[in-house]
Amino acid sequence: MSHEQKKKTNLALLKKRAQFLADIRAYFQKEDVLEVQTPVLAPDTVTDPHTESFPVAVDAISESSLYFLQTSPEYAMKRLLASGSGSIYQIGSAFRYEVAGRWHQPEFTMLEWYRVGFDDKQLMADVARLLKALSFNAEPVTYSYQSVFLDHTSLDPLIVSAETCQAWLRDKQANVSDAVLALDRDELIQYLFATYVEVEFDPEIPTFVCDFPATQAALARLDNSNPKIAKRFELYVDGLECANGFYELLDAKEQQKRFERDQALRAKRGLPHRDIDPVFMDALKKGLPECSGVALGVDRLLAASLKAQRLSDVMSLSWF
Amino acid sequence: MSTYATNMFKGGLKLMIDGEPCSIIEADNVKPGKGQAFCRVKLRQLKTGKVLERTYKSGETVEGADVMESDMDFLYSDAEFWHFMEPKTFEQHAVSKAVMGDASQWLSEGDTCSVTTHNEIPILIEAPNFVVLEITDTDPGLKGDTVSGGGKPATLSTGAVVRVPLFVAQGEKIKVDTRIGEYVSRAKEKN
Repeated sequence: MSHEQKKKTNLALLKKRAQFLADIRAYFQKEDVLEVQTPVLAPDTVTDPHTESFPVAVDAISESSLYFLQTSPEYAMKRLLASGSGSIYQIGSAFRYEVAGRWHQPEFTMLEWYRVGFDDKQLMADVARLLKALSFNAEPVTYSYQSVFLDHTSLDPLIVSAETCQAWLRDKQANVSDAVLALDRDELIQYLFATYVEVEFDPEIPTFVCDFPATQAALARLDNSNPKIAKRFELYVDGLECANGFYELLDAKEQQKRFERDQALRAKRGLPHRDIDPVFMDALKKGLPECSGVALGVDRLLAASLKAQRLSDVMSLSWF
Repeated sequence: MSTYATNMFKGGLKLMIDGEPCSIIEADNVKPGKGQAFCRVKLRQLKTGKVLERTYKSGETVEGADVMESDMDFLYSDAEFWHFMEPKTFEQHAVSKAVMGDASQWLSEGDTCSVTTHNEIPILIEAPNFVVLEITDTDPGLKGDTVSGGGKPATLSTGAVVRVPLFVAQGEKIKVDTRIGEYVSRAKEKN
């Protein structure tokens, strides 16, 4: 399914896209955040069981046989942070081995940045300022994951069991499929969030969801006062998930445990094994400064800005 | 019966949802940056036109619906059924008033219309977008009136009632847009 042949060069779009990128760079220049570039092709990749990487055969040029297109520049940028870079940002291609769709492209443009000394709430305020600089004029709203989930489902995502989620779903839908009932607890919570919560966000107002359940912490630290909460947030613009941020976990041992849990889940589901990136772990052990970081889908945000109907409409060219 | 995985979902695909044939209006993959991928689908129930929303786990399969859309000739109606014929096979179908829905008030014998069948049984009849029908009853109009103004009700040969301009008279044929049930124009002879 290639749109390539059909698509003519749209000069107006190229100019709008260039201006959007220029505005992003102007914001970070003003904020004194340094632009960096890190390799897109690397010998290791993420262990996350829900994120697949494109493997690339490199046996002809390297001792290792397989490299991976990076799903985000996170590990590489954290290596720079650990070696004293200070606050940094990067705009570049990221790759995910996923079915393309209206709002998905296997290759897309990601803006990722890290603020040394910021916690998650300060970084959310930073994201909000960037949105203003990009002419998203509506004042954003912020909900905690727990409160917005309770509002729309009356279930508490921090403590609810898989069985209670299933019973609630059966009550709500006539025929819940076996595949949905077979989801694990966290996936059921994600299913309910995707089906009954995020669809209720006002498309006109940028919406932050913060304080995620600890079971979906990924690389975020847990709340000091409530270990059921992870210092992770997401941003929705025009109904689309546009950004994901963490108050970064600095504890290498805890990170190692989470990666091992990922690997176990991968093995259980018959997904390909992924090594834990040793260079990234070395950087974590050496010490990451106190910082928060966020990854933002540039194409999605541009699509929201231009009221585009699909992601490929705001990409200069696309293959999928 | 064929099944379809979520990556094959697209507008127009016919699926069985809760035992009813449905047509996909749109399907979107929803993949949280960190989390399980889903496919969010909006569907139209073919019999009722009701719009449903469903979320599937990515990769999940759903039973397809054996739904066909074909043009058939309307033959005649009796007290209970409207009778249609497939012009190629001459196969005839009897359709109840419930399935006919709105279409019953627009069809004249010999009209061709779109019939949707599920397992070869008609479930949806769509009248042609435009039909020409004779006015069998309406108040006499005023001479010299133009299209403007309120108009008046007119009963058509099929029993349907539409609003027509005052200058249109009983016995005349008019063109009607069946999608909105509104008068379009006077029909030219031999239309």
